[in-house]
This record gives sequence, C-alpha cells and structure tokens, in this order.
Amino acid sequence: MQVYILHRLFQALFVCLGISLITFFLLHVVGDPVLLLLPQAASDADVALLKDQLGLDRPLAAQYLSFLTDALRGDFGRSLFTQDSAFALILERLPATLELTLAGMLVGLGIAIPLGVISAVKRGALTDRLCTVGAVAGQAMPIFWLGIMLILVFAVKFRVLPASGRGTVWHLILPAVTLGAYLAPLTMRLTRSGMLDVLTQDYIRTARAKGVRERVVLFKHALRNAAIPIVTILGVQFGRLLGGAVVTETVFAWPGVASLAVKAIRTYDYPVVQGAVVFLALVVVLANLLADVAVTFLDPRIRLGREHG
Amino acid sequence: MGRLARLRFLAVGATIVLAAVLCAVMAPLLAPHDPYLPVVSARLIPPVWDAGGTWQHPLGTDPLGRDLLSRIIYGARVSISAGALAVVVSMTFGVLMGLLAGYYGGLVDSIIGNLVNVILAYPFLLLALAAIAALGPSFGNMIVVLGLTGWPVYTRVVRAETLKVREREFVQAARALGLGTARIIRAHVLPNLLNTIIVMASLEVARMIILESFLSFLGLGIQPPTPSWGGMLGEGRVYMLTHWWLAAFPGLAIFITTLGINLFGDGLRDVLDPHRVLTPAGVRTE
Amino acid sequence: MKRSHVFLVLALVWGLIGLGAGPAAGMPKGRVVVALATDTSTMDPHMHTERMGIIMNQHIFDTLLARDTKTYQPIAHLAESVKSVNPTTWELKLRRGVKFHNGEPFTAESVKFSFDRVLNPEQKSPIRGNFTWAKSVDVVDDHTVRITTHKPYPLIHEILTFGNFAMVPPRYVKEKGDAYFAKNPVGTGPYRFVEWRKGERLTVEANEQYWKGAPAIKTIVFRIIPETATQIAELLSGGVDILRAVPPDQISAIGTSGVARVSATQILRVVFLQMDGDGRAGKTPLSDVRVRRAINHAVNVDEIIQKVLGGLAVRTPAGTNPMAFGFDPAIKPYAFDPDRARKLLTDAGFPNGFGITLNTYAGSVVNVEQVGQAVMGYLSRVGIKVRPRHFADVGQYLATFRGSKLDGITMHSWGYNSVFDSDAIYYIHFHAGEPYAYNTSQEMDQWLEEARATVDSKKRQELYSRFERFIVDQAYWVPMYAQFTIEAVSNKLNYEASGDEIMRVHAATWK
Repeated sequence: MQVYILHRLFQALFVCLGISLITFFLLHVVGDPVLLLLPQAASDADVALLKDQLGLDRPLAAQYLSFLTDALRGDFGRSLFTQDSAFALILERLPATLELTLAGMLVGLGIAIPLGVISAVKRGALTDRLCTVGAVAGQAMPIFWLGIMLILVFAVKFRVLPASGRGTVWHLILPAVTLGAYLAPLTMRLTRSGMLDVLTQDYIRTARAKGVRERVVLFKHALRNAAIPIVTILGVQFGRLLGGAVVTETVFAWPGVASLAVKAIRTYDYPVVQGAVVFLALVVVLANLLADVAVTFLDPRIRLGREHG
Repeated sequence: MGRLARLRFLAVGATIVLAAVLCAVMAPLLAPHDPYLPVVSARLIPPVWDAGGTWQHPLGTDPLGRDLLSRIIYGARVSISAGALAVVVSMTFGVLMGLLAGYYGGLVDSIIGNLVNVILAYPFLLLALAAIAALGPSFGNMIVVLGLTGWPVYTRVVRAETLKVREREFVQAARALGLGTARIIRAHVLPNLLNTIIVMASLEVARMIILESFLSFLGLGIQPPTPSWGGMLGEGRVYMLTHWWLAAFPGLAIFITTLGINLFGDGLRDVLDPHRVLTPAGVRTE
Repeated sequence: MKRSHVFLVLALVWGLIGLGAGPAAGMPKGRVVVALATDTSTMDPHMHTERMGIIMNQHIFDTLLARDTKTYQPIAHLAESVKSVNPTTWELKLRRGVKFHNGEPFTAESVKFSFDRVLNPEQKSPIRGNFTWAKSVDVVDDHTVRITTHKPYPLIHEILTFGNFAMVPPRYVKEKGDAYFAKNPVGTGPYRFVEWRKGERLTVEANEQYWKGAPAIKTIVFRIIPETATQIAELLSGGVDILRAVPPDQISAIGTSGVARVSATQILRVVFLQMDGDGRAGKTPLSDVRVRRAINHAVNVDEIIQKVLGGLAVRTPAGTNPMAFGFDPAIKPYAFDPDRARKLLTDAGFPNGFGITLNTYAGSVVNVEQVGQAVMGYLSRVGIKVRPRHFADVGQYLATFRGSKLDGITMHSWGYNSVFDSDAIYYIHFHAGEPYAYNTSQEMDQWLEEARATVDSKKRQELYSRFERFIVDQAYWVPMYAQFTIEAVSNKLNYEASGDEIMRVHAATWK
C-alpha cells in the first residue's frame, strides 16, 4: 500500500510540474505580457525596462526555472496594478472558495448519492426513469442561468435569502445550491451505474441467496463497494467543481479565487492569473490524491499491495 | 429500464438533434429576418402571445431590434458547429494520443498518461480562461481551447483498448508478418473502438455546447454580433427582470438541444455498445 | 479675471449659508450599502485615475475646492478663497481648525506637501500631468499659500476641484510610507476609513468632528458586485441602497418596484464617432470630407437617443457638452438624410459604398454594444460595410488609440477629465502631436493654443465657437450626445445622482 501511495505521490508531483509548465507556456510564449501591458507607442527603451523589471529578457528556460522556484516559496510575483503579492491575494480569497466548493459538494452529493442508489435499486421503475430524465435535464442546464433564477425567486420575489456576497450562512445557500446542481447530475448517474455494477456481482447474489436482509445487502455490501468509484469520481469532480465556481462566484459576487482569476484575466494582470490558475490546479491535484488514498483504504485489493487500473 | 423505453428516448433524442441540425444547415431559408441587422425602431418587442407582441417576430426582438427567432436559428449554426468542431478536435487528438500510448507503451505511454493526468487535474474553465487570456477571444481560439481540454477522455479509452488488442495473437502475427503499424491499427484496433468513440463523441457535443455557453457568458467566447446561444443568454441575463424572453429562449434552445443530444447518445450506447457501463470523464475504464 | 470674481461671490454666499446649517443635525445613524462594479487599485488619491477610486476617496479626503452640485461651478472647500495676485500668481486662503482623522492639523504645509508630492517625478503620480502648470507652491503663513504658474492658467479653479487632488496628511504619509498609506488612508473628509477588503468591500464610518458638521449616515459600505443583474437583484431585495450605471432598459423595473427609484442626470461625458481624417492609422476614404459628411447624414442620432437610451441623453451638435464652457447653442447638427448621404458618397467616388472598421470599447459608453450595432445598421443602409472591432479592455484600447493604430471610425467617449471646459476635450483630440489627435490642421492648433492662454472668458468663447463651426463643417466627428448617469436609490434615502459622476453618498440623508 505504501508503495502505491508513494507512486501516486510521485505522479501528483509530476502533474504539478505539468500544470506549471502549461500555464507558464500559455502566458509567456503564446501571449506576450509586454505587448499586453505597454501602449503600442511605447519606445524600445520602455519595452526593455519593463522586460528587465519582469525578468522577461532572460532565456525562457531560466524564466521558467525562476518562476518554479519562486512559486515553491509561495511567490507568484506581484499584481501589476495593485502591487500586492499575488500569493497573498489568493490566500486571502482561498477560504471563500473552499467554503463555496465544499458546501456545493455537500449539496451535490446530498442530492446525487441517495437518488443514484434509489434509482439503481429500483432499476427500470418510474423513480429510476424520473431520476435519469432529471439528471439528463440537469446536465443540459447552464448553471449561471439557474443561479440568476434562484436569485430572482428567493431574493427578489420572496426576499428570504440574500442575493449575493459572502457573510452569514444564509449568503451561502443560493451559491451552494447552484454549484451543487452543477455537480449532482453526473454524480448521480455515476453512483447509479457504480451501484448497478456492484449489485450484479457474485457476492451480492450470494448474500441475497443466503437470505441476508435486503437493507443489509444494500448498505453493508453494495454501497461500501460502490463507494470506491464514487470517491474516485469525487476527486475528479473537484476539478469540475472549481470550474463551476468560476461562474458561480461571478454571478453571486462571491469574493473567491475563481472570480479573482476572471477579473485578472480581463485586466491582463498575468501574475495573478498565473498564481490563481496554478494554485487552484494544485488544490485539485491534492483532492485527487486524497481521493486515491481514501480508495486504498476502501479497496482491499489495493490494501493488499496489488496495483490496479 | 426497458429496452423499449430506451429506444423511445433514442427516437426523441434523434428527432431533436435532427431538428437542431436542420435549423443550423438551413438557417438562411428558415430565419424570417436578417439576424444581424439592427432595427432600432423595433427594439424589445415581446413574444407574440404577450401584450404588444406581433406575428412579425414570434419570439420577440432583442435590445437592437433584431428578430430573436432568427438569431436562435442562426445561433444553432454557431453553437452546434462550435460543439461539433471542438469534439472533432478533441476526438482526433485524443484518439491519436491513445493509439500512440497503447501501441508503443513504455516511455511514450507514461508521458501521455501523465499529460492526461495534468489536463484532468487542471480545472477546465481556468485552463480555458488562461488560454483565452493569452490568445484573445475568437471562434477559432475557442474551438482550440475546448478541443485541447476535452481529449483525455478518448485517450484513456483508446489506450486501454489498444493495449488489449496489441497483445492478441493475430496482431502479434500480423506484426511478425511485417505489416505496418498504421495498417494494423486501421484493420484491428479502430473497428473495435468505433462504436465506443461514436457514443462518447455524441455525448461530448452536448458538454461542449454547455461549455461554449460558459465561455460566452464570461465574455470570452464567441464575440458579438455573431449569435451564439451562450452569448445571447449572457446578453439577456441583465434583462431577466424586465424582458424575460431574451434569456429564456436561448436558454431553452441550449437546454432542449443538449437534452436531445444526451438522450440520443445514451440511446446510441444501448444500441451500439450495450456492455460498457457509463464511465465518468476518463476516470475508470476497466 | 471675471471667472475668479464670480467664484469669490459664490464662495461668500456659500460661506454665509454654510455658517447657519450643517448638512445634518444630530448623530449619524444607520448603514448604507453602495454597489460598484469594480474596485480601485489603491486608496492613495494621488496614485490612480480611476473613477471608482475617486468616488471612494472623496468620502475620506477633501479637495481644496469643491463643485456646486446644481451649478457645477467651483466653490470653497478646504480653500476658502483662490485669488489672483497677478496673471501668474494665485493666493489661497485656507479654512482654519480643520483636522485630519489622525489628529494632525490641516495647514498650508499640508497643501504644499500635497502639491509637491504630486509634482515630484520620483513619486510617479499618474495625475502629475494635470499639475505641471504649477511652477512653485510657497507657504505664506499657516493658512495662506501662494501658487506661481509658468504661464497664465485660466483653469485653476476647475483643476483644484479635481477628485484625485485630495489633501493628504504630511506627517502621517512620511512616517508610515506610501505603501501603508495606500491601504490605510487618512484624510480630512466626512468619513473615516475602517476596512478595505480588496475586490469585496470598503467600509467607512462617519467623522463626527467633520468641519462641515457630522454626516447623517453612520456607516457606508461600498460593495463590489461585477454583474449588473446581481446588482439590480440586490437593490430590489434590499441588500443594496444605491447603485451606479443602471442600464436604461432596466429603469422601469426599478421604478415600479416600490423599494427604489431612479435618479438620472446629465453628465460631462460625450459620445462621438471620431474619424481618422488624417489617415494616421492608414489611408481610408475618410480623408475625403464628402465621405465624412455622408456619414454624418447617415446616422440617426435622435433615434439612438430615443430608442436605445430611453431618451436619457442630450444631443451635442458640435461635440461640446452643453454643461461645459465653450458650448455654442447656435450650432446645428447634420440632419438625418440617408439619400443625401448616398449622393455624397457617389460624388466622392463610392457609389457602392466601401468597407471600414468601427472600433468600440467597453466601460464608459452606456449600452455600448447596442449603440455600436445601431450605428453599423445605419451605415450599412447607405452602403458602408462595417467591420466591428471591440476592445474589452480600456487600457488596450487607449494604447492602440495613442499608438496610431486605431483605423477607420471609432466610437469614442470623453469625460472631460471632469473639467467643465472645452479645452479639456478639444486640445487632446485636435492639436497636432497630441496622443488622441487623428484630425489636425494649423488653424486649429492656433485657436486651441490661443484659447488655452486666454483668461478673458468672452474672448475664449469666441475662439471656441469658431473652432466648433470649423470641425462641424469639416465633419471630423459624428458628434452624438452627452450621456446621463443613471443611478438607483433606495426609497429610504434622500440622494441624487450628480452631473460630475461623483457619488456624494456622504451628503445623503435618511427620509
């Protein structure tokens, strides 16, 4: 098991490296920060000065290396407009994003897992069909549209919840529901198919044949085994969740890292873009790693030291 | 769920997809008005059944006096072609990568495998945002960006399948006979995968249409005045309180079309690829 | 000269009224939330030129002169008077007994420090260019300052109301340093700084010792809400009390809501189509005056005002804002006449029209996309095929503009830098060598330079009238309209939008 976890850790490090490389490549090679930042009438001397300030006159490899070493020390450079440390800006807003994504995840799972289990158990019944259609419909709904509808209904019409911003737990409800609704359909379908997969396994049939009560079969044997794909999915879904947070934070004026990144992109504040994107991607890698580690505890095959996949 | 019910879903899905594609192809014939020409004197006319509506503009007009129905019909062109092209890009790239990884194995496989992990870990929207920030917003850039974030799904499936096929005796034999790599892949690997890829790609089109709407909503996708459903929905969001139709109809268009594609894709899976359980975006393909 | 006399009288009148009644009696109470779409980059008023920053700053800081919200004339503020000693020397008498929030007294030293700070090239203040007319600033006594100018400078009263030129506390700034000051501002203004969470909110609290008397509202929160839809939802659900930049089409939703109302007023910002007559960004048919006149006849400005802007705009025949000095009411706009436009194009050798770029940019023009599209529609009807080019980023737009790369037609807007005078718009757009000038001629240079150095207002008016007639005849622009600022206010508050686009929430009172 330790070997497996070490292997995953190594893989995660490689992924982090890849993420930093892609981001760096996109912002430094594809786009030229100097052109974006200076007026076109700027003299060559201005260009040289800015390049020198930003360290852009050195070879690309050297730039990437110093970007990497700086990033390791938590230094993503300074915002080009406010002169604040990009890392400090991101850290300041990280709690808001984590709060939103975790709440969104809770809502999403709270809807998706029970419904997924029910529709797997009642396969083919009306409930199952309704859930499946609901999930397909949910996947087809753009979440910003849902977010605005929720604001109109609960804040403007009934005035029971605040329309935007962060503060009390009431402020969290609408954004969390929006984000949860983004997560739920796919998770529900995956839970359902994971559950179906398990329910047709031999040991479940054996357990049933032995006369074990249905409820025990479901919760002790089936759900526990279905938990493995579900946890793996959660790791991956965390990336989607952060993507959904970009839109949710914008609609609800939620002061998180994702909306910071969107704003920075609009103003070409590339140290902040770079910092926010790399940082969020690392959060996803971490979530994936945690999910994998959790799976090793759930899955006896891996616990016994066998590789899987 | 009964097979009959599934087939019914497939039929409904296929009808919707067909209708949407027809709209896209025949837009100039179907649209009653020029979707681009602003008519300032005819701004914000409500749909025909609302007070003040007219048959001239069955779904009303937008803040520039352009006919909403015509824009939605033309929008089908943009949104569906954006979704389809993005899928073509990601499918081509993904399948190629999967074949390379599966066929050559070793270092190639581990490099591609890690690249897949990188892309899957990278929150899609942020990757897209970073890419568009660097490239500037345009239709072409959006296709590239969507395409480059969507390929790992195919790579994983194709890689697994290629690995399986490679070890089979007849492929080993073919190799021993000196048949070229390309030929082996064409003759033995791709046919096995075709159905799976078709199903995956059809479902991906729906996802890409939704993602296009995200990007356009954030102002980083298709730029006005080109009508895309996501962009129209984005423009209409300010008007939700006063002129509901501006956001409602493009939203409905996205909803119905992606619903249709999903139903179609799910149904297709039952017909073409009945043994494969639904897999999340490349998570586990065992 | 005449201007400063008028000003003295106004100052006196204000002084008399001011003695009697402060803006609010009793203790400040309650909380008002103001929604803004973007935050500012710094709280240091000398180190930015952002509108949102100015709005936030002037709750914490005071300027030397303020602007009367009805007449828009400069009035006394921290300076009680600004008198001309000779054409290049001005004497300022300062208000006594004013203190900064940290207890530091406001004196002549504070004024000299603020001037020197902005003018110091090392400080790199972005507003330095607006103050280079000043040669030196000398302290006469604790409450008297003399300013010497390089040349006669007729706009001194205007520029001293400039929102960014707030008085800062010398001791505090020197002790704490610029970086600390940028996050922990201290001024003499009606509100004390409490907390700034960048990108989220700024909170300020009433300064009960304010020299004009304590404001009526205890706490003001400026919240950053980027989405207009969300802003309006917040207003209607009671989470926000005042918001800025309401789209004209949303006015009805607010008006009928029962919780808030709309307060709209004309502002200095004018919108116009600038054509590249000089061919600065490359040769186009626009070099031909007949083509430019045709375009003027082709665009139905009145229809844009009525239909796209809900009537909330004022036509500007020459481009001059009627609120600014130099406006000539006798000048008439080009008539909307597509047939005549087509004929002019035929005469110029373009019977089938031609293709041209139309540049637009995000940020300042109300309903920018809709107005731009409407213009495209009008032009296409006379055969001119427009290639739209939209700049999502103002910085990039202005850089392209300055860099001689903005070809074709540009839907531009100008806020006069909040100076109510024609010099603030025409010099920068028509004087040879200026960054935004794409139409130049020797006679225009001459008139502009003369007007800039003339203190006699009658003579200046004549110069600008002549200038305006010339640019209308040459059709360098399609002058369109002066915009309105459209704000929404909770029914709980007495507050009105102001024509200088500065939100004076500190002057609001409870109903």
